This record gives sequence, C-alpha cells and structure tokens, in this order.
Amino acid sequence: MVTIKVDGLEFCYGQHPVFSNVALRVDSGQVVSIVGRNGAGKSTLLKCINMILKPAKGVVLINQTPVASMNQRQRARQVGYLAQKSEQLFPSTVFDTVLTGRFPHSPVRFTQQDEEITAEVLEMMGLGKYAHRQFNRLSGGEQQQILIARALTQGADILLFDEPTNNLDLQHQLQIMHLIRKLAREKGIISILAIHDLNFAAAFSDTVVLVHNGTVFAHGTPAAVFTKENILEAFGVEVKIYDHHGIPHIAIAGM
Amino acid sequence: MITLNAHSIQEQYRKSVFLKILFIVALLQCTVILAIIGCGAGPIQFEIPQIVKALANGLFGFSFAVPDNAVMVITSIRLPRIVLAILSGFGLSIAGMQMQVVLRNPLASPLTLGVSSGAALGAGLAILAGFSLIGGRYMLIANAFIFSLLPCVVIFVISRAGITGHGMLILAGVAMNFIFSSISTLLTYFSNSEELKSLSLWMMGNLGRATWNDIAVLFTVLIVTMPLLFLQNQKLNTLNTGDESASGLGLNVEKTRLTVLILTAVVSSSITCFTGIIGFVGLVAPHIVRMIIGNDARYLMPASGFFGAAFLLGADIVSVKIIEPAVLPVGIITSFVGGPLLLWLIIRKQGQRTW
Repeated sequence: MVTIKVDGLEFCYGQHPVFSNVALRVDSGQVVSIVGRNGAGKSTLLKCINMILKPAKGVVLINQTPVASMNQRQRARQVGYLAQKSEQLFPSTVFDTVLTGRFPHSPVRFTQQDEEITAEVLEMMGLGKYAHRQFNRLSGGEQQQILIARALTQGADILLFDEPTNNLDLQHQLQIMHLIRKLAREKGIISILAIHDLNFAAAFSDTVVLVHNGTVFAHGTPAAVFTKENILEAFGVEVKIYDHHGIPHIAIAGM
Repeated sequence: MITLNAHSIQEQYRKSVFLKILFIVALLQCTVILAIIGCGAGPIQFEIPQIVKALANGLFGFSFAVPDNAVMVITSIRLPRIVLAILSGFGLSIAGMQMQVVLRNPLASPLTLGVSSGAALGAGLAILAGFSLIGGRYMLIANAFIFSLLPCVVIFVISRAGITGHGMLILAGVAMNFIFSSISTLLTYFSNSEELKSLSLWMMGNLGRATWNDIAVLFTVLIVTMPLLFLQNQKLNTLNTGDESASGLGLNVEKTRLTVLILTAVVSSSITCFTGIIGFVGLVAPHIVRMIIGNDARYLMPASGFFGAAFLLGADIVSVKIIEPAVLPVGIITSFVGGPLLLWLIIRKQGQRTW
C-alpha cells in the first residue's frame, strides 16, 4: 500500500509562479488526471512531484516520507516518470532499454537478478516478442508500453505520465489507458497523468485535478470537476456534458 | 524470432552479450596482429617470426637468434610508434564515443569540441611566436595540452552558468573552434615558411615523434582515466532516452555530463599534444562499432577503444608503406579514409541492424 500526499506545492520559473498552493492526496490503486490549458503547469506539477524540478514551497510525501529528503535513486525506486518525448538518439534494443530501469538499484553494474527481473516484466506485459528489437523501430504505442515496463522494472509503485496518449492513434490510446487501469486494479499502482483529452480523463480516472490560474481550480470525481461552468472558466470553451453511465462525456456545444 | 517467456528472453539476451564479448576479443586480436605487422613496416624488412622473436628478446629477455639490428630497430624505433598508435586510437575513440552520448550529438568528438584546434593554437604559439607557458623540451607539448583544455574550461563555465542544453554546449565548442582557428590563421599569416612548415607538419598528426618517456606519461593518464570512464557506462545507457527520463531513473544528469566531459577532455588533450591532430578516429570509430554491436555503452566502450586502436595502427602501417621510404603523416590517412567512411555510414544508416 502506498499513499502520496502533496501539500502547499508552489513552483516558480524565475520570479513568475506557475502554480501555488497545490494540494493532493492519492491512495494505492488510484488513477489521477491533471487537466488544464497549455502552459497551465500540468507537466511542471508532475515533474515537481518527483523533484525533477525543484518546487519553491510545499512538500510531497510518499507514505509519510518527504520526497525531498530522499536521494535521487531512492526516489526512482518508488516513482517512475514517463516523459513526453523519449526518442533514442542511438538506438538500443527493447531489453537494454527496459534493463536501465534497474539503474536505481544497481547504479554501477547490472546483476543477473536485474536481467531476470527485466525478462519477467517483459513476459508479464506480453512484450517478449519485442525484447530484442530496436526501441526506435516500434510504434508510439509500443514504445509507451516499453517505457511502462521500464518503470515497473524500476520497482516503482507510483507512475507519472506526461501526456501518455500524445501522438498515438485511437486504438493505442485506449490500449495505454486500459493498461494504466489494469496496473491500478491488479497491482495497486498509482498513476498520475498530465493529459489533454478530457473524455479519456473522465473515463479512466478516479480523480481529476483541474489546474487553472496557477492553482487547483477544481478537484474531485470526473463528474464533479467536468461541469459546463468549470470548463468554460478554465478553457474558455462552451461545452455540453452528457451522462454516460455516470461518466461525464464532454462535447463541444453548437457542433 | 519470437520469444515469449522470461527464460528464453534472458537466454537470448545472454547470447547477444556473448557475441559482443566475442567481437571485443576479436578486435583485441586484430590489434595484436596489426601491431606485429606494424613492427615489420619500415625501410628494413623483417619476417613475422623474426619480429616475434625480436620482441621476445627485447621485452622479455629471451635470447632467440635474430638479425643483429632487429631488436634495436623494433623495440627502440618501431615499437614506440606502434604503442603510441594503440594508445591514441584507443583513447580518442573512447573519448569520442562518450562525448557523443553525453552531448546527445553524433557529431561530438575531440575535433568538434575544439580540443584539437586548441592544441593547434598552443603548438602554433610555441612554434611561430615562441610563446610558451613552460620552457624546455616539453614546451610545445605543454602548450598544446594547456590550450586544448581551454575549450573544455569554457564549456564547463558555460554549464555552471546554467546554460546546460547539450545543443548549447556543442555550439560553444564550435564557437571555440572558430576563435582558435582565426588566431592560428593570424599567426601563420605573419610567419616565415620554415615555421609554417613545422606547424603544418605538427597539425597533420604524426606518431613518429614519440619517445618511451612520452608514452609513459600518456599511459599513466589513460590508466587513471579509463577506469573512471568505464564506471560511467551504465549511466550513459540511462541517458539514452533523454535527460528527463534519466533524471526519473535517478541519474544526476548534469554531474554525469560534466564528469565525462572533463575526463574525455583530459584524455584527448593528452593524446593530441603528443601526436598532433589525428582526425576522424574519435568521430568515426564509435559509429562503426555502434552499427555492429549496438549502443550498450558497457560493451561499446571497450569495442570502440580496440577498433580505434586497430584503425589507427592500420592507418599508420599504410602511412609507412605507401610511399616508402618516406613516411606520410598518419592524420592524412585517417582523414582520407575516415571521410568517405563517414559518408558511407550516413548513406547506409537506413536499414541498419545491430546485434
């Protein structure tokens, strides 16, 4: 069981605050989507959670332990970060790519056990057939799965996704979102997503955090956050909300 | 081939590792064979068995029957040159390979970062202007070494100032190249033809100047830096999917980048100040090896090193033999072969496969 708590988080680029006073609590097995306009600070918030960027104020606690007090490798054993762009300049095989997930455990030399864990994760995720292919040669959706496999090899039980469905076709978008849900359900893994697609956020998250004007504008279940008023205020777009078995479905008004 | 269960996935991985190690061993053997052939290259011809015997006599105190002058010619004249070729090829190639990964730029090499043009300026100041920071026999070498470290200091200062994008660092290297080249050109403009020839000969890259003392200095530098660079390899692998991903994996990206840049700068400066500018080994050798065994730095580093050593040895043998009895500067051969090789690699890059 793992819990992550964010309290009073503030981040500034130079003197200019991107967001302030952000609070959040996520329990084991939950999926949280952070939504908001471009430049609202979704990705920045994500990077502050595992200290890739240093917040100006506030704390992030994993099971009561401040993340700031951990060293980089201790953090990496708990939190996996899936960046938006992950193209390799010099192509590696999928196995080598996933094996680097063991870096926080074996920083100098990978052991036989590291290789075993890598192979097991690849098998478990049904990615064995890609193991010895070039990472760069795979489709965007496959690459995203490989990076999720790497985060699992890392031993992380909190995954931070920066735009996980960017540049993917509809089928692969669905595949990734289902995988995120499955990991939450079967392994209790927490996923925090910075995401643009509001309908995906609504359909796949337990909690939605709407970031606007440098702070958390709305926070709660998808149905509570995705109201006509909130979306008009945060995005400046008129929408209609349809209820689909309790999940809000957002459509642009007048189209 | 489709592998599905963990055991066979790992099995196949082990197999690919075994092939990589085999490749490294093969390169090592190539280097040894080329070294022996290299001992035979020169105005006085020796047969291979004579060379092996002379080496055994000279280095290990055996007393095989060999021609009178063989031991002296081989161990005192030819061997220093061969050893310098091995050390230089090894070091330059590894420096280039690690620079390429930490700067995430396939064009990074001691040449691109300004190390070589810095060394040329140092040598130019010593030869043409008589300016030197240290006097005596090592005046030119020390000057070249100190000036070749300058671009690295500038890059270090720039990254300390918070400008850490790898594109920026390589641009800084390019800028340093321009600055140094313009000063060198200015110096040559005011020099006489004797000085000019002496500088251009230095700049062409030459392995023939080495003495055993020089080699001892270089060997010491490599013995200290290589293990430290080897320890960076696993970190270099995590850097491969980008800085942010690497941070997320728990790597201190900036510290790794600086460590590698400083170490590779010391390696390439130490080599360049003894040999002059030897182009393309540091740039091309890692790319060729990468195309064969892939990008796992733990194997790529030793393989690049031995490939570079074999490549430079081969080039040196050609430079000795091509217009006997004259010896061409080896830098001409490496650039002449390296340029087309690089072009071929670029064209062929589509459809490449690695182990």
